[in-house]
Amino acid sequence: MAKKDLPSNNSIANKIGLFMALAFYVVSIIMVGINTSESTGIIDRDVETITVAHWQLEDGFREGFDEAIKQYEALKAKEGKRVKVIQTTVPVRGYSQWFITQLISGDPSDIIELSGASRLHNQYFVPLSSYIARPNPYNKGTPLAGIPWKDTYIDGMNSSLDQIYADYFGVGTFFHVTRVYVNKKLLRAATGNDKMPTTFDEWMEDCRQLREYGEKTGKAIIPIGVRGFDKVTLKHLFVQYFSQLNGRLNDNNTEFCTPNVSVGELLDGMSRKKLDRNRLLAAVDLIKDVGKNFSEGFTATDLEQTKFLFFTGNVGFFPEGTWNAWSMVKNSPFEVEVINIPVIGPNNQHYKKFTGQISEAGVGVGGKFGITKASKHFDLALDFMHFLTSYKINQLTMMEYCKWPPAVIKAEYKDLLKKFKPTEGDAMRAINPPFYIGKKSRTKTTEVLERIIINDIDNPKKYFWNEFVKNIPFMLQEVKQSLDDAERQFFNLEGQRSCIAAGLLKDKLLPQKQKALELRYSMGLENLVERLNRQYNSKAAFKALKLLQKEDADEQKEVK
Amino acid sequence: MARQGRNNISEICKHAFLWCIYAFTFLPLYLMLVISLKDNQQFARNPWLPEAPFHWVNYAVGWHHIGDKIFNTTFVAFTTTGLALIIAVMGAFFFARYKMPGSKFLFFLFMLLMMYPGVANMVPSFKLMTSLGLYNSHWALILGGVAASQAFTIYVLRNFIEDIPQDLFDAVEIDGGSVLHQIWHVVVPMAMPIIGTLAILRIIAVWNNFVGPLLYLRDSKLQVIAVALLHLEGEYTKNWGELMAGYTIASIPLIIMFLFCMRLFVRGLSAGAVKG
Amino acid sequence: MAVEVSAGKLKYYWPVYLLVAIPLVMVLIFSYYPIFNGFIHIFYEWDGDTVEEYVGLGNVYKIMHDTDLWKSFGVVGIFVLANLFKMIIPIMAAVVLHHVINERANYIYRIMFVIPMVVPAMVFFLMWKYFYEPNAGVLNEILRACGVIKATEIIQWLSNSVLVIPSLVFAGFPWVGAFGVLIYLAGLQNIPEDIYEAAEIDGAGPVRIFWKMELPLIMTQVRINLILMIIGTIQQWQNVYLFVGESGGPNGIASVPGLIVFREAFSRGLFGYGCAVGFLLFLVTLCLTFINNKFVRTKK
Repeated sequence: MAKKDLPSNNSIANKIGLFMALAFYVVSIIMVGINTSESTGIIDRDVETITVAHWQLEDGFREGFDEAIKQYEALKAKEGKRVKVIQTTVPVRGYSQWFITQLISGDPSDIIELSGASRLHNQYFVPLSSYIARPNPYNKGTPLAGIPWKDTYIDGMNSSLDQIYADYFGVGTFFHVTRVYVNKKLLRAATGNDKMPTTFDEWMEDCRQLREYGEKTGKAIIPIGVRGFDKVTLKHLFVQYFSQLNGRLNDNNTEFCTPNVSVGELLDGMSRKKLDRNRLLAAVDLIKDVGKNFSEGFTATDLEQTKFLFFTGNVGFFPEGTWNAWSMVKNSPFEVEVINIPVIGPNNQHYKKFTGQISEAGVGVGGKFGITKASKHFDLALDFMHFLTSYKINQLTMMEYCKWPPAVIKAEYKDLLKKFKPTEGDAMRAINPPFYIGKKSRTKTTEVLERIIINDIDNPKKYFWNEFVKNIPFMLQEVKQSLDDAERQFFNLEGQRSCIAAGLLKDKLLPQKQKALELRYSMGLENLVERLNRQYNSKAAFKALKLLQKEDADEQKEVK
Repeated sequence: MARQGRNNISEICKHAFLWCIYAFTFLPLYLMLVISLKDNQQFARNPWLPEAPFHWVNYAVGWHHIGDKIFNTTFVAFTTTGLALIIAVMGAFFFARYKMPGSKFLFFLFMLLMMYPGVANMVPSFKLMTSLGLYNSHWALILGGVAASQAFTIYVLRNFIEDIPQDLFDAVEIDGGSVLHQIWHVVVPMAMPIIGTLAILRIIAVWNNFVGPLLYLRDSKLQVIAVALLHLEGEYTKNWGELMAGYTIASIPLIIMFLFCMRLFVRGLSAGAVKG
Repeated sequence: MAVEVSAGKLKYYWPVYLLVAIPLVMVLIFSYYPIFNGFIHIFYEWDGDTVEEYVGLGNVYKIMHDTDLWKSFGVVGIFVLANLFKMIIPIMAAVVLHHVINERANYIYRIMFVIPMVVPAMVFFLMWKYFYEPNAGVLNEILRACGVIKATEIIQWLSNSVLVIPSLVFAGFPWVGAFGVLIYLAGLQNIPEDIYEAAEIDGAGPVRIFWKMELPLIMTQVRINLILMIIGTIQQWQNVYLFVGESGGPNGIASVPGLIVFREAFSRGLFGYGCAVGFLLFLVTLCLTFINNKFVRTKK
């Protein structure tokens, strides 16, 4: 029994507390009332409000949007319409859940940055194909006047084309490429000149000199900084050099709507020995050489760590995406040079296989924003999207505020952004190495590369191939998964959804017989072709992988 | 009742042990306060000790991010608690004072809910709320919170009301008081400590809840402190000083509230604990 | 005592039912309806909106073959064991506090135990998350200062598959959250003075007093806390979500069943499966409650 009974003067304190709490509560009610009415536009009837939702929290992005919104609202006010645009964001970690719950609830934001599966896009977002062929009205008076909206994009809006449904559900706002950030001061100290490496061998030579410099001065110099923890850098370099050596394979592309040959076809070629295996594996040698220049324990360093090491002058070269460009340049106390990833030069042993630099023309445009079907202000939303992606405003938001490459063509790349201009010309498109299919196998493949580097394995090509064969069970799982998905998409839930979305079905369950018929009517022939394509590719990949496994097993038996 | 110690050494040991525990418990709070006044360079140099100049501007930025969320949270917390208690008192009164046909069954219905894991209801509740048109509205949280708290609150209150002497009720009845009269004039004053404690517990629970707001609130304007802090932490460029200032601001309202009712709370907690 | 109303007197007393009507309606709508709705949807593949497909026992088969789900129960098991250990410090703290002689200090100490309860839990979580931060975090800084790791090395507390679960377990040290201490303290305060005097006469030392006397007498509270803790830990997923996000850490290794419900339903759009796993959790909780009622007697 507590003997801490209070003397009566404390009940006054209690009463004051209670009163203050009540007063605060009343204030809260008022504030909440104001906020709610702002969001739903109850009070101000003649103000049209739309909400824009995305996850881009990077420096300058939201500020750029705010500026665009301000200009837009002012513009509309001059025309006599009162509008309000609200920007709302969520960190990328919670985005997929926020995205789905919004759409399902029936009360989503008007404009949302797209993520997730195609079926969500088809079910909840307005198809924009009828709008993208017309010119963007906000491009009047700019070099892009009169050009159809989709042609004002550097990729012709190809990355916004949803291949499964053959429609456009969103329009992009920016794109990204990878560049190498160079500590100019350090390089000068190590090599004695300011010459930037343009070929692979020059790069390796510069790295060797950096290492020597480090040993001479006793500083901990890392020639090539790496985002090792999420394996991003290594993956990227591998794809880069693989593409530089095998780019011509894209010429065999038969798939609908993509410029890239599919992994299934590549595996098919591999298993039937129609492709030169040495050529496919050549990139592994190059990666091993590059890897010599990584730091010890690079598999644990994450982005923040490597950036920190770069800022403190311990890293010579850092391959990283342009989304980090501004923070890299701004925060370095020394001069930073930006160069492309060096190509394979004439001095290299693999030069004969070199097919050219990777073309970045038509690289995918990101930041795709779509308009939800449930939005009550479609026209206003569409108008705002036109505004956002117009020549002037897209450059304003992306280049000025965010220092990101914009999605529009003929943009004026100034200063730092000049280095981000996509390389064009008659170079090859990047190509996906056929050694992995899904996330698991991709991680395992990267781990193999890591081991080749860390353990300095002799005959890396052979080792890589053996590990690839060991990896095949995972790939088979992933292929099976995508086959299952393709089949389901074809007949079951997917088909029903398309039909429902097209307004064809009133009831939820449909007898098996009618399904195929309705499907053909609602989906259109292109979709069927695309779906069949996916099934075909998955089946081809499956067969090819099995063949490769068998071949390896036979080889092992021979050796024994 | 504190016990008589044997000697001074054991006393010192006890104090030392407790202070050890306090040190670790309050370490996060200490760091939070210290860092909240630093800018990023000061933070990088030494996050442990206060360093002049103090950057009070961090609090201005923190308030900008978190400020109005306090109002949202207060609204949801107080409304939920108020409604929940009013409704629960009535229910508890019913179970404590009357044994009607079906009482047992009804009580069982409530008690069964205490056992049902909230996780299992996440999905269908979401569907229900959206069907009722409550998505992106605080009322989804309020109504959900009221319903979820009924079982426990009625259970505790019923035990309490059962112990109130019969004569008090008879007195009011003789005066011609209706049921509501009885509740207001007898139950509420007698059960004040336990009601106060339950209220504070409920407010703290709602204040800390982040799953509901995460699922049901779409607009950041309506968002609640818990989720706002989570989003703040998810920013790419972390300005630690501002972040910590935000945390501090988020902690202040409850601390103020607690300062005023702490004795009430501690007393009620002891009383409730005895009842088990 | 309470008014006994038989069926006969109902005519006169029926308005009394109105008292319980409101809570009942609230609970029926917001708790029971979702329960039944959720149960029905176990047998459907549901996208959360209008489209659902009857799959019969499809979700059940999926559960039986879902290795990630069974691994998550393992993780929860680890958490339960860890929480068992974590109950020790609050008990010790309560006992020590109970024995502090200085009344003023006693009072201040009790207040100091309540403060962590009032500070929003989210703040504590986020502070511990900051502790675990690989680059700027306090833990790594201390290790660097003590020379355990090199100046440029970092330890990924939350991103390393081996370290993530211990980190989650350790967070919140010394675990003297909210109720534990104060409730045990209240229980201890109920021990009558004479028992202590009797023990003193017997010449019992403080340790014996603790083991033979105090611990058994607060056993009721401990037991209640134990049950609540076990049932609560099985459902809890918020701490994992806050520290490592919905993916459940590297390779999803730290996923718990509740997190899986959240993830499958709200991030992957598989609402039917979410309902099924949720129901599985309910069955597990039910089992535990029965075991508790059978083998553990609680005295009032």
